[in-house]
Amino acid sequence: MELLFNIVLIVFFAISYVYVGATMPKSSDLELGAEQWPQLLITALIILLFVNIYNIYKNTPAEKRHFKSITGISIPAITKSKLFWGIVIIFAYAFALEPFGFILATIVMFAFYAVLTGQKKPSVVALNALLITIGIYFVFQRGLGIMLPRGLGFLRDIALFLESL
Amino acid sequence: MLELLISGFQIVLAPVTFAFIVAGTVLGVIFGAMPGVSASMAVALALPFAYGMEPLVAIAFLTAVYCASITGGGITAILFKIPGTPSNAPTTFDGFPMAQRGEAGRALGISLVTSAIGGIVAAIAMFLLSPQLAAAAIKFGPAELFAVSFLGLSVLTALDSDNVVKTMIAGLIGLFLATIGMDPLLAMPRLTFGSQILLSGIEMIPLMIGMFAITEVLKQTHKPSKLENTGSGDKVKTKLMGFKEGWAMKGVITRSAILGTLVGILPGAGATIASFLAYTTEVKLSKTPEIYGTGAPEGIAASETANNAATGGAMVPMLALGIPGGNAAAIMMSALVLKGVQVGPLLIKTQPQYLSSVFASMMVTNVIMVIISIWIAKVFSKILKVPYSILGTTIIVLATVGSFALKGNTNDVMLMAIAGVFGFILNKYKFSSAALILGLVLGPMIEANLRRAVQLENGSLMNVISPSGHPITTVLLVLCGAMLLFPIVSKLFAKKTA
Repeated sequence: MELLFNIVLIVFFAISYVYVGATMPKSSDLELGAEQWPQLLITALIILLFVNIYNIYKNTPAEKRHFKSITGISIPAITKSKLFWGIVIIFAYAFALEPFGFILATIVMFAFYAVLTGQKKPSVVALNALLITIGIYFVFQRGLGIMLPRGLGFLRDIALFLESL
Repeated sequence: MLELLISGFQIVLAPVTFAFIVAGTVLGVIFGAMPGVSASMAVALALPFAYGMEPLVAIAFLTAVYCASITGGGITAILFKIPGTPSNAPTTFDGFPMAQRGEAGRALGISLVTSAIGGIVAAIAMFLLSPQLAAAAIKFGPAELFAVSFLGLSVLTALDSDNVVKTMIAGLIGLFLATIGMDPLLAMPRLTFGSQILLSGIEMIPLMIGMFAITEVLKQTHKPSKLENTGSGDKVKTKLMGFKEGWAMKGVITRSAILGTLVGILPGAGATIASFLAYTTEVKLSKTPEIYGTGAPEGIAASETANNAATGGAMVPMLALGIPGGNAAAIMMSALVLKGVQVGPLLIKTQPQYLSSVFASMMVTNVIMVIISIWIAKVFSKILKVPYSILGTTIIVLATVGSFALKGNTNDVMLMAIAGVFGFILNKYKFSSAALILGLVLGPMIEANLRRAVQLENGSLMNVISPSGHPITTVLLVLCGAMLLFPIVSKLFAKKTA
């Protein structure tokens, strides 16, 4: 997996190298241009990433040096891990904030993440999700004047009603 | 100087600011004491509270959170053998054995008082050193400023000698990320890949929140850490260290305070390295090294004095040069920049109240945190009963609010989530997140100064680094080179001698 991570980085930086060269104006001889500084960094990065790949190869026992370490990644095993679902919940939460608003999105995310990290009692999950969400909402919205996402449609009306309290 | 001191205390002791400092101290001690919440994460989570504050109040509040979180981390280190922050790890070596033999209250007392001493010594050092350093830096041109900021990055590789290549990669990724957005000199979009969102560049605060808070929650989700309870956590009665006991450890405290401050000043080093270094130094210097690790009060004193002293040290380059001394300082610096404060050598000259208010805030925090920590240690068994399923999820909510509140858009929340996952991968493969953050923070400064310097020298990079034109730059770059090469050369040397 580490090898794959390094390869992905090399590919990304190689694309960035070409992209910045193609999209920025060519600089004159009297300056260090806008494209040259990132290209300098990318060159150093790619060299170091290759050194790192060599280090990984060198430090891997001979019997384990095969392509199976890259191609043998088990998708079902990944989707069964708590980490994978944790990431999914966090991203879903980030996407849901705008349409569903802070309160609903947070209560739902809270419930899912608490269950994922081992909370088994539904009453504890529900109570904490509700109290912490409302508590944080009022501290920031009312106490500190920070506007949080209201959501769309009737959720927006509810948020506006809460703000008017 | 006296006027400056008075103005600092006037700012800090104003009722509203003082109330925020007390709140920041409570928040810091609680965050710091919670396993899995590092000092940087505590500052990141406290950021949204600071958005609505005046810049001076905000920096005083964040300073209080930072100092108090390091102290709070000692509580769990002693009672549960779980360092609240990584910098409290050496405290477990002697703190936990003391708690096991029924001296938890005494161990906590030593930890709190020595923390306060370390913090106060470092605050004084910061107050005295920062203006001198800033005065010297004002005379610097772009070439020298480039070299100074580059030095900050190269220090990192010397500190993590086992992963030099990975640390350099992380630092370069940070520098690369800083190039995304509008080009600072041409005002043209660069590396945005056609995205409107990337036009303003990578926002530092959501990225830092993601890399500290979300990464840690993901780590705990992946492999939860377990608490080892001494059984003494339920009813702890802190016994403050007396003068006699303190005097007996004067050498340990003095050495650790100086060492901690110096390590804190080095960009990227910070409290963790300071506490380990102080602990190992004391073991080496001790006539009875065998007592360390078995419940020696000196071990707690060394670790806790040094890690708190590092907090003051980390403020020196931030206030004097605009270079953060560590992750928490980087977050504080970003908060100041967000408030429109120009952080750099001119800050102390034009707005000295920032130096004096940080100093006064540190002095006040270090005193009141002893009182607050005693109270928190008493009720800590209750706080620690909050399961991670609730604590971790609350951290996600606070991190989200902190990222969203910055500009009121969910793109920053998305950036936070991406940074959290990326931080987890970096952490898993032992790339340094601190190097990436430092690269990101220093990137604009390094690039702008290097490009200006090259322009002033009519395109000649050689003239920028030549000893005849820019001797300070040459010296600093040689130092950078030595720092970069030192770990590699020392390893080769060690191999040969072996």
